[in-house]
Amino acid sequence: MSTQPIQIIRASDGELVEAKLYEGLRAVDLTLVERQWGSWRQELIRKLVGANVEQSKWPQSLHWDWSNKVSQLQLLAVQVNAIDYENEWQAAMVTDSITHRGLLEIQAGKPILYVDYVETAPWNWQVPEIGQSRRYRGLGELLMTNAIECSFDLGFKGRLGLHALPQAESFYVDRIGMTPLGKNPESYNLNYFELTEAQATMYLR
Amino acid sequence: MAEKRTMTLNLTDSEMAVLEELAESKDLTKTAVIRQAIRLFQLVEHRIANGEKLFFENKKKKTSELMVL
Repeated sequence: MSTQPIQIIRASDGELVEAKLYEGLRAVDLTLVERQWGSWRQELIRKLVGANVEQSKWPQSLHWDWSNKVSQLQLLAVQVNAIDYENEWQAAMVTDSITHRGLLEIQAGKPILYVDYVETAPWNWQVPEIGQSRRYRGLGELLMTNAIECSFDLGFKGRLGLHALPQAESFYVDRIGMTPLGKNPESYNLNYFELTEAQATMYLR
Repeated sequence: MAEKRTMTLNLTDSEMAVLEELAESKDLTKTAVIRQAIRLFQLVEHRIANGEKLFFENKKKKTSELMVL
């Protein structure tokens, strides 16, 4: 596992704080991610139910379980990177470098880095229905930057692909600059997005 | 990013020709092709070791098992 310093934004006052980006989390780390996040998820569900918030407005990754990824960590193709601040995992991402190829015409058939899961800690979600404000922000952008850098390191020239939850679609298009390719019936009918070399270079500028 | 080590790779002309062809068609460097090959080999070995089988399917949906030695 390697580590590097990274700055994240404290949402309450906009101040930058020094966090750490870890690449190549081990099984024990991923178990800790789920232990830290799982109890918070349960509390969020309790509050959402208590406030009679319609399920369609609940955070769509509320049911995720990061411990399900532990068995894949022995593969070189699967990597988990995450951001830690004050011994709490603030955000995490799983990438897969072998099982997906580009679909956009400009990169059809070429290897891409597939972002399998990316999520911020539940305390970093903005959930106005129950009055929850996020603690830190900008974490998604930082992990997507890291994904692009990993793609370049693998020789994929920044090419990425991912399926997005509906609540996150605008983030990938408007903030990251990815291209939507439509719904994929083989992946929970989620919309699929790709980032080209040119888009990756533009994003990193 | 993880630190990398350097090695010398000795290939025949035909192996080098295939490596160059793959690098060209996949828009990768030759080093990146080898790194991908290692990842793919490990993935296949891992799944077969876990009792899974590897199949290819043609356009007529006919499948054939690939025996990996």
